Formats: sequence, C-alpha cells, structure tokens
Amino acid sequence: MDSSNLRNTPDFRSGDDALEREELQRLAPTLFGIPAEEPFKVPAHFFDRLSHEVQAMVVEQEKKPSAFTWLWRLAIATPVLLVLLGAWWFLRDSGTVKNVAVVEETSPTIEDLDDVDEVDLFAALASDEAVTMNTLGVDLTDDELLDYLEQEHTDLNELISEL
Amino acid sequence: MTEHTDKELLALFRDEQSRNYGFNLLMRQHQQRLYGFVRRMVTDPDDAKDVLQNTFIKAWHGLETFREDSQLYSWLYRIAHNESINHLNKKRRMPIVNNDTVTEQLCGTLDKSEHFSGDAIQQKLQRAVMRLPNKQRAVFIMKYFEAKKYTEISAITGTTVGALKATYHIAVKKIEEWVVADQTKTPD
Repeated sequence: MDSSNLRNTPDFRSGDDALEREELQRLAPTLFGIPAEEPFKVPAHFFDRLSHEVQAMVVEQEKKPSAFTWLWRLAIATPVLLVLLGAWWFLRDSGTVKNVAVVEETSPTIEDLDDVDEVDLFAALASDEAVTMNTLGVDLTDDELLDYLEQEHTDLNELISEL
Repeated sequence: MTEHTDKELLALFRDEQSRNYGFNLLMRQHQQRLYGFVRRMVTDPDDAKDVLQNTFIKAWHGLETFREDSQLYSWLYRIAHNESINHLNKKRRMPIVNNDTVTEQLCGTLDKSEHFSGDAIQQKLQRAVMRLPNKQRAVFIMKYFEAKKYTEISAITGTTVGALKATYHIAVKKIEEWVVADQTKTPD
C-alpha cells in the first residue's frame, strides 16, 4: 500500500509551557523520554478522495429523506391514532355506566334521637296507632328509651299525664 | 495550500452557487489535523475513515446554522471528538464484545506495518493510550500529542479546565505505569 505518515500535526509538547514540561518530566520520566513521532500511516490518496466521498454521501442522504421521512411519520402516526381510537371507544362505553351511590344502611343509635323532633314524637305517642320508635326512623329498646329520657331529664310522670 | 478564513469559507458555503466548492476548501483545510486526532482515537484506518466522513457530513448539515462565536476548527474538532467517542462506545456496546476485546482489536492495527511505522517504544506508548477510557484518551491525545491549551480542550469537550487537568494528570500516571510495566515484561 502506498501510504504516508500524517503531516501537519503540531510538534507535540512544543506548545507546552516550561511548567507543564517540568511537571511531565517529574511525573512520567519514561513517557517524557519517548521521542515525538507520528507513527500512524495514512492510506494512499486518502485525503484526495475524502471530500468527493463525503459530498457524494451528502447528496445521497438528501435524496432519501422524502420517502424515508414519510415512512417514519406513518410509523409514528399509526400507533398514536390506534391508541386514541381505543381510548375513545373505551370512554364511550364506560360513559354509559351510571354512577350509583351506595348508601350503607346502618341501625339507628341513641344519638339519632337528637334528630327527632319532639313535637313529632309527642304527636306520634298521642295517636292511637301502635307507635314504635321505628316509625320515627329509630329502632330502640325500652331500656334505651328510658335511658334517653332520663338523660334528657324528662319527667316521666308529666309525660304520662300529657298522654 | 492557501489558508482561508472562517468568514471566507462560510460565505462560500452559504452561497448556493459556491456551496460545494466552499465545503471542499473547508475539508481540505481541516481534514489532516482532524484525521490525526480521530486516527489516534480509533486507530483502525477504516474506522477512522468512517468517523471522519460522519464528522464532515454532520458539519455539512450544521454549517447553515453555525454560530460564528467559535472557530470553525474548534467546532469541527468538537464534532470529530463526539463522533470518535460515540464510535468507540458503540463498539464496546456490542453484545459479544467486552472492553478487553475492543482494546485488543484496536491494538491489532499496530501490528500491521502498512498501518503503523513506529518502533517498539512507540508501539508500547500507543498500546497504553488505547487502554485508557475513551474520554481520558481524548484528553491525553489533545494535550500530549497535539499540545493543545486546556482552554481549547475545554471548548471542545465541554469539560472544565480543572477537571481536564485532573484527567490529564491521571492519564499520564497510568500511561507511565503501563509503559514501564510493558518494558519490564519484554525488555528490548
């Protein structure tokens, strides 16, 4: 192969200042002692051909993009479109599902009596109909009811006389 | 060969009529120095050719928007540096290849007389350089072989001057150690 060594490379270490040279000599005496050479060979006519080769490659690349770009655009757009379509389909179906609020039924407690209007209570007790606390939305035993009346300092005798 | 200024080269390139001519001049002006760096980085002449071609192709596409706040040479050098590192990283990422294999492949070039004309000590030095990690190798080549200023290397690599000094210091110590060890192993 007809080849030559690299030219025009700067004489290495020539630009170094004295301090850097001294430091290199101190730090790496063996390395410092290796003569400055450019041992790599350049293939024959390499630099004569390079600019033509590069320009040919640039022309080649500039020809390709239109078809190539379209393929890329298509390759990216198709899955995106499919995902959007799927999302629309899914949301369309799920939109028909009614939001039903689930109300948990719980047994009334003694605290619920606070919500019972006393007027309603007396009216109910005064009626002929069999009245249970359930009528008022409260399910209590007799003892619980007595406890409540006691807690409210209700005079049972007075209550009975009113009835 | 007549040296052209950056302004002249850019003006020629930006004119549609003289674009190819301008780029041709730019390549001829810078190709040898860039090749020197790339060749030391990748060692194999075919790889060096690929890296340099990619460098100039990228330069072609980037020249239109090149901001003239840096020198053309530094900008080209930066592309060549990045391309070399990318090329070496790609080689190391190949599934069945490990770091040692890549280093051995790179060293193989030195055994072929059509690619390398150095004597035994030059060969030892190059082998040691090839054992350095890619970024350390780049810094070592720019500083030791090309005598670039740290500020210039900083502009090319995007690394601070302080970090470059530390990197070079470490690289020099490693090279010295490996060259000495190599000499002890196979005395000439």
